[in-house]
Amino acid sequence: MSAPTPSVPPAPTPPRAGGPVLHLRSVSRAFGGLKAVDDVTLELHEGEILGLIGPNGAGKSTLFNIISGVHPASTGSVVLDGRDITGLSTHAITRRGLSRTLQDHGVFAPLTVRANVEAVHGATRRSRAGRSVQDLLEACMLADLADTVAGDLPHGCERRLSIAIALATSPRLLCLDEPLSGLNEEETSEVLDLVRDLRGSWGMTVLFIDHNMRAVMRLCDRVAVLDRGRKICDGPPHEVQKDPRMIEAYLG
Amino acid sequence: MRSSEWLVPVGVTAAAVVIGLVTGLGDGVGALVVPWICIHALLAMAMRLVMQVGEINLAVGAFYGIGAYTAAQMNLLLEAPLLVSVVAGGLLAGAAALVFGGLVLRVSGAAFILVSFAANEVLRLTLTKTEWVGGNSGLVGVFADPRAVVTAMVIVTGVVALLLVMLERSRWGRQFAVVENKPLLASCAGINPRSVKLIALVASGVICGVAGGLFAHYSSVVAPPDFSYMISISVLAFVMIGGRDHLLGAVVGAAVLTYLTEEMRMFGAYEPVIYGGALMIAMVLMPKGLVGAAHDVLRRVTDSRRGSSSDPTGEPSPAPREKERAS
Ligand SMILES: Nc1ncnc2c1ncn2[C@@H]1O[C@H](COP(=O)(O)OP(=O)(O)OP(=O)(O)O)[C@@H](O)[C@H]1O
Ligand SMILES: [Mg+2]
Repeated sequence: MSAPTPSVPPAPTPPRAGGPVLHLRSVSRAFGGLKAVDDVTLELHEGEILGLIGPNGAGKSTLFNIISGVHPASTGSVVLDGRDITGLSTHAITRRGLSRTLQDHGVFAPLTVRANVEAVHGATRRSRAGRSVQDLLEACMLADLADTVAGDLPHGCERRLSIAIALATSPRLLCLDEPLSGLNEEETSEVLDLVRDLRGSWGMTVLFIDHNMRAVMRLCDRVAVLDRGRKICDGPPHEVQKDPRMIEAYLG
Repeated sequence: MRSSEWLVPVGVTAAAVVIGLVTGLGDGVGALVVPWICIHALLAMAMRLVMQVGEINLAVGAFYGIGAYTAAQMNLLLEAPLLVSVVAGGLLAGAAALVFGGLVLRVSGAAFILVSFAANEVLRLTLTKTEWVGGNSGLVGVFADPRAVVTAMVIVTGVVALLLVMLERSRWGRQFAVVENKPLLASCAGINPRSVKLIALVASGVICGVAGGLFAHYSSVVAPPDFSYMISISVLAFVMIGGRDHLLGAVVGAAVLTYLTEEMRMFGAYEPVIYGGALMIAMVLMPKGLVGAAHDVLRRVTDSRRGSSSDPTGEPSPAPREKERAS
């Protein structure tokens, strides 16, 4: 596959030397009596691909929603590039450089592929200052499908379109919510290649949630495991794989 | 945008304006209905604009009234020229929409419908109690050359229609569709759904105000009953009967229903019954409205002519709709 061209202009926000791109400090979220996310502290560094895994109901989606401003955190804070974004609304967070895909409705089916990306690309000053629509389509291998209606796309292409849409906001940090769910082998490896390329050529920092354990272990530099709202381990894939707490969480 | 894409909307609008001027300035039934068709078409386009961001605004009558009272006062107190009064009406109604939207757009859906309905009635009842705008009997004696008013109405309606086509095809128009159907996707894309809705509401308020200003000069009397929530409901009917998915639908709905109302006067006391029954039947049989139904028929004809190899990646309809499931 063709790698995204490295000659395109860099993202508008210059990376700050040193500090983490994303820093969660003791973030919690309760629904009634249930602590869906319980005192999670997590750092994500420039150019890193961090996998977030955990059994069903572990709190992954809830954590994602807190980071992207869909729900506020009950306690704790979220810091993006040194700036506190706790409690900001989703669109404000996106404008500060954090972009997420949506699991079930990441594309707008009635518009063509190009129109989907254009609608988002034209929406903010930040995105217009970033890469062009054509660059985004090419990077996501959608250039040939630009005039196809999004609703008619096969699964794998639709998923890559949802990533192109997220990239159209010109993010510093790309958060992918189960980008592999429902994909076959070939489509899965296309998405994985895309994510690797984005990091390789654009230096994109990625937070990656998925149930496909094998893929997460192969793709990510570091993996954090959530269980019943708590972060139980965090480290390179080969260490996490052997961690007794992780085995316990999945089997117990 | 390629210039060829403008041929159809500009051509249709120009033809409609010519027909409107010829019949509206003549002395047949056109002279009776064309001014009302223009007012109703403007209000229907304004109603549809807010529907495009997913809300139903029953305060259309209020913004229409603000425009009418403003223009009437400009004419009576300042003897301002027609266009100045009308523009002033549009601006004040737009400002009112800005304040109203800023205060209440935190709610949406049924709550917004109810709030906008209440706002409309609060304004109307306030007008009946406000003596310096004539209380119950309103303002009387707005003077303008009737031919100039009708000419202005037809041309303004055409210009507003073209501006709305431009808006629909601009990046704002695309954002409207995303905000209406996928608010969560819109926020994730950095779009603030509330400010997009506010922009649509203000633009819609300006159009209603302009319609009100034209109405004041046409009827020469403005009074509170002209601006009750019933006008908002009728305007909603114009949009739905015409077909909400196309701008043309708002205009066609306004034209057809205005004309039929005029023709149905012969039914006397039964008119509302027949009108209401016809509305119900039309809405159930043609949920996409007249223009939507015509569009479907046309597509079926062209598809069958092309044979069964119809192309599923055909052009999407101009106001695409696909509801977001709850996450
Ligand atoms: N809006 C909500 N109201 C009440 N409880 C909720 C809400 N959202 C999530 N929960 C609960 O919080 C817990 C964590 O849910 P969450 O969806 O974050 O888990 P998850 O790790 O994403 O699971 P999955 O792998 O199945 O997607 C679950 O017990 C869930 O029932
Ligand atoms: Mg989940």
